[in-house]
Amino acid sequence: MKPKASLAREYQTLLDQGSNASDARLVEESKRGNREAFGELVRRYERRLVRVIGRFLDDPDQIDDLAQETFLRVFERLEQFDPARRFSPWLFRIGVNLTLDYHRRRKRRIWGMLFSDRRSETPFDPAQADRQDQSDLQREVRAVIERIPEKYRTVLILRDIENFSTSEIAAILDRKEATIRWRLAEARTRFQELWEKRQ
Amino acid sequence: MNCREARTEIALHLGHDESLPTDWEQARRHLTICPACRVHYRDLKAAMAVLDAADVEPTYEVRHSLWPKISEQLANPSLPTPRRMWAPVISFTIACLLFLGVWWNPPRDISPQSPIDYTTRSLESAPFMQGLNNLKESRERKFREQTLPDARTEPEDPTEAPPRK
Repeated sequence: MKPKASLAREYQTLLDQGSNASDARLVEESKRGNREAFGELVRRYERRLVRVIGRFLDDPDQIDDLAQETFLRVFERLEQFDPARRFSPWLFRIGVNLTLDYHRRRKRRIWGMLFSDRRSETPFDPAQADRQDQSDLQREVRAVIERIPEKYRTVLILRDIENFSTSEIAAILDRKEATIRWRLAEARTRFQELWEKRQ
Repeated sequence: MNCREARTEIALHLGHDESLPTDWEQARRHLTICPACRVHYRDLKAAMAVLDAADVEPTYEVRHSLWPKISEQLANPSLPTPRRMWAPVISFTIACLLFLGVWWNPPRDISPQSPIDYTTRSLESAPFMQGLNNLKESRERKFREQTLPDARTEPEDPTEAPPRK
């Protein structure tokens, strides 16, 4: 599984826009009341945050609302931020937690109801997948991911779909990296089992 | 390395997430002697190819920057936050439903001319219960007259001697 080109480009853009040092500087300026500095942080991370939230939810308005609320919470809690640590995992931790809280509350609405009942008896062939309707495949994969228990699903989405590193995921979820690795292995295995059993 | 450990290493290796190269080397050696784990490796690789192929582009991208709205919110904290915007709508809807419920089902009679004490009023005072009580008392009286003809003359104290005739 190779890193996705679009994500790699985006990482580079984020790196070009500013290092962790400049994040810390913007956070310090925001704490002193410089709104424009905070606006710069918002503009720097909003696309990535919205996309991560969008991996858990399917309602565009709700995704925007949750992203907006995440930044508002971040602003409210800037005083609690430890400047010795990186800003982005802290931002994504707040965003992911808000999203999971929201998702738990509306658990009844499951994407899985929408899926086709195609079943492949043979191992998956990526070349064949190219011929399939891409959105159908995405929905089907999403439905399978939705059936994975939350603690594994979150790690799977952040690593295999959003391409965060295991150390970043450990920082976002506030767990040890070894725990994240174990959950990741479990998540991939569960995805494989559910994918084969899907109806 | 047993099968369980090997499968964990396989899952990590397929995403380039193994912690040490030696871990994968041990798992690879296990694969050479374990057909079941080889099948697992092949299936997992196929499933991860699906995951990779399915996610070409994100399902949703931000169209406009969120900053103008956030900035407005920060400038005016009294504005409802995005997810709380529904709260007044829901409250208003509930209030309307309650009003309609009361409007369509007014209390039967609460005029001062016929005061009803809801705190002391009980089932016992209901007219049909009074009728039932009367019926019950008359039946008991009739039963006593038929079965205990001397009941009226029975002394309150059974040890007391009956009156002489």
